[in-house]
Amino acid sequence: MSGINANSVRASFDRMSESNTKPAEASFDRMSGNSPLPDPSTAPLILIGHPGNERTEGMRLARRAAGLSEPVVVPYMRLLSGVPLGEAAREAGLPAGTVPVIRLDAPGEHFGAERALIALGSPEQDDGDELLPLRERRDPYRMPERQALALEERPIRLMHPSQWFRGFCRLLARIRSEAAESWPTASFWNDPAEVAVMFDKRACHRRLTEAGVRVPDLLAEPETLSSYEAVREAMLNRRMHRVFLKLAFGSAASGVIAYQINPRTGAERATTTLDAEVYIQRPGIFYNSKQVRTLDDPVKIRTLIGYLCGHGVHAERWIPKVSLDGSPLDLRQLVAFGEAGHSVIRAGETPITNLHLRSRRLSLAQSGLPQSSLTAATREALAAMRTFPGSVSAGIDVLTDRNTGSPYVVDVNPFGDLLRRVQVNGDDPYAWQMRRWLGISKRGAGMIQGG
Amino acid sequence: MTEIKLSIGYDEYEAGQQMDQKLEELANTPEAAQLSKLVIGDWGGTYENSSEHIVETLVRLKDRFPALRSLFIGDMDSEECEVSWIMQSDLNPLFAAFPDLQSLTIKGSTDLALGQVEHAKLEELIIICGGLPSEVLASVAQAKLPALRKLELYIGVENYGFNGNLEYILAVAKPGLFPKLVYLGLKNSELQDEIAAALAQSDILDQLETLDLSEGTLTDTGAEALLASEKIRRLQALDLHHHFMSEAMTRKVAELLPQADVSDREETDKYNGEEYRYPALTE
Repeated sequence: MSGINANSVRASFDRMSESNTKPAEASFDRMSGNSPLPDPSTAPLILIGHPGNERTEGMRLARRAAGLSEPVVVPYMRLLSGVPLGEAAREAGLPAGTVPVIRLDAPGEHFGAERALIALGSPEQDDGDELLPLRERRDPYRMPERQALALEERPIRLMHPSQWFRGFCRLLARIRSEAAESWPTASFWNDPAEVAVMFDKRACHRRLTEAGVRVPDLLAEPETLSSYEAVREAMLNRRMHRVFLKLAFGSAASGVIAYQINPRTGAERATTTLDAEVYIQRPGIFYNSKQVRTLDDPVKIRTLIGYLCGHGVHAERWIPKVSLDGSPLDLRQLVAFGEAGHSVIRAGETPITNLHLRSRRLSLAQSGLPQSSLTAATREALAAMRTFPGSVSAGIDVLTDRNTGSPYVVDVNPFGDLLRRVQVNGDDPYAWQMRRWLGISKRGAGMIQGG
Repeated sequence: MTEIKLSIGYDEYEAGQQMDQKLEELANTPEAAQLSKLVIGDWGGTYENSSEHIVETLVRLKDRFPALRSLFIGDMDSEECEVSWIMQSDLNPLFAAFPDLQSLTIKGSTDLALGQVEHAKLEELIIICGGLPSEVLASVAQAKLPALRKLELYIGVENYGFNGNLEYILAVAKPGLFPKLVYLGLKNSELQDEIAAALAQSDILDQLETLDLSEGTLTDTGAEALLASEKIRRLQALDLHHHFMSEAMTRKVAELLPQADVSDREETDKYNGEEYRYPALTE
C-alpha cells in the first residue's frame, strides 16, 4: 500500500522497537486480562509532572475522592536537574519499602523543562538514544548544551523540536532504568518506550499500520521526505495531491500543514499556523501563530515544509472529514484500562480541527454523527490502544471519512487525558481512570485464576 | 419528492470510478423517475477534471429525470477541494435540457460559463465561489428568467476570479430585470460597502423581501448608507452576517434595523499601517 520498499524499512524499525521494550515491561501481567497495574489501594502512585498544574491537581483530587493515597509528585525539573528518580521520589514522600506505580504526565507548557530537554538532547549528552524512534535520522543541526541552556523563553516559538524530542527520549530511558534499579518490580502507567512511540507520529503510524488499525495512507516513508521537493515528488508520483504534513513530535496543531497541489495548474496551497521569519545571515525563526492562514506562495511554503522535513515530518493522506455546517469534525477519545471513556468532538473552522483556539467542542449528540460512525470510531480507538499493551491510557484522535464513513486514527497522545468539562457518570477523566483502576483490581482479585 | 447526492471519494476516483457512470446507474433505477433534487458533489479529481462530462451526461439522460426540479453542481467544501480549484464548464446546455428546473446552485467559478440564459421556470439561481468572472455576471445581467425569485451571487475577490467592477455587479440588480425577484444576494464581496450604498437607494428594493449583503467586507461606511435608506427599513430581512462594522455601529444597526442579521463581526487586520478585510469565502 505504501511503496514497495516499505517493508525493509519497517523491518529494521521493528527490530529497533523490539529492543526498546526491556526491563520494566517484564513485570506486567498482560495475558491475565486483569489490570496491568497492582491494586491501587496498596501501591503508591508516583506522578512525574509539573507540580500544581491542572493535570497534577486533577490527579491529586481524583485520588483523594477515590480514597487513595496522595500521588507522590516528582517534578520533571527535579529529574532534569540530575536527581535520580529513586531519590526524587523519596524526597517527595514515597514511603520506604513500597513499590510504586509510575505515571508520566505531559512535560510541556513549562519553558524550564523545554530548555532542559533540548540541552539533554545536545551532542554533549549523546548516549546511544535507546528509546528514540527513527534514531538513524540526524537532527537538522545540533545545538550545544551551553547554547541550549542559554535559551530564553519565547512563547509561541518552536525552539528545536527534534533535539527536544531526542532529549525527552533520553529522559524516558533514564526514568525507565532508574525505576528498574530502585524498584525492580515497579509498573508504569504508560511504558516509557511506548510513550516514545506514541509521541513520534511516524513511529506511531507504523506501529498502528502493522497492527491493522485504520490510519490514513502514508504519503511516503519518512526517511525519504528530506525536503519540500521530495514531498512534492512523492505527492505527484502517488497521485496523493492533498496531504497532512505534521511535525513528527508536535502536539495538537503545532507544526501541522494541510498541503495540496494542483497537478493541472501547478498551484499549491498550505493551510497552517506555522509561520517563519527568514533571514539571510542566520537561521530563520519558526513559530505557531494564533491564526490559521492559507498560503499559496511557493517560496513561503517551501520554507515551512523544509523546516518540518529537517526536524522530521510525518505525511499522510488528507482524509475529507465529516463536517457539521461546514466545520470539519474530529473525535478525541480517552481510552483507559481497555475501555473507552470521555470523548469530545471538535469542530474546526479550518481543516486543522485540533487547534485549541478556534475549535468548538461538541457533545456526541450535537455533532449529528450517526451512531454507527461513533461506534466505529470508538472501536478503532480501542484497537489503537491495544497496540500499546504496556500502557494504560491515551487520548486518541479519530476522524471519520465523509465518503465512506470509515474511522481513521490520526493521533495517539500518551498524555491525552486532560479533557475539560466532560464527564462520564459524573466523573472527570482522572476520577474515571481511578475508578476503572479500582474496579478492575477488585474484579481481578475476585475472579481467582479466572483470566 | 426525493433527493440524492452523488460524489466520488479519493479511493473511488483513484480506482477509476466516474461520475457519468454513477449518473447512468442512477438513471437506471426506478427512483430516477421520482427524483426531484439532485446534488452532484466532488466528481473525483475536481481540480483536474471539469464538470463538462457531467453536463453532457445530464443532457443525454434528461428524459430519465422528468421530476427533477433542483440541481446542485459542485457541492463540496475545502475538505474535498478548494472552491477556487473546482473546474466548472459551460453549463448553458442544462437550461434547455431541463425546462422544468426550478433551482440551480453552482459552486466554483473556474472556467464557469452560462452563455445566453433563457428559462421560463427557474426560480432560484445561486452561484457560490471565491471570485465571479465578469462574463458570468454579464450572462446573468442579460438572462431571461421571468420566474426568478431568488438570485444569490458570491462576488468574491480578484485573486480567485473576480475581474469585474461595481457596474458589472449592479447590472444584475436592475429593477424590472427579474420581475418576480424577492431575494437578492450580492455577497462575499470586497466591494460590499459600494454595493450597499448603491442598492440602498435603488428601486430594486421595492420588490424585494430579503437583501443579502452578508459574508463580505461591509464596514461602517456601507452601514451608514443602509441606515439612511427608507427602502431598506421596509425590507423583511437584511442579512449582513460576517461584516467589519464597529461595535457601536453593529449595535446601532441591530437597534434601528431589527430585521438585520449582524452576527459574525470580524476584526480588521492591521499590518504595516495597512488595513485588511476579507470576505468569508476567499480561502
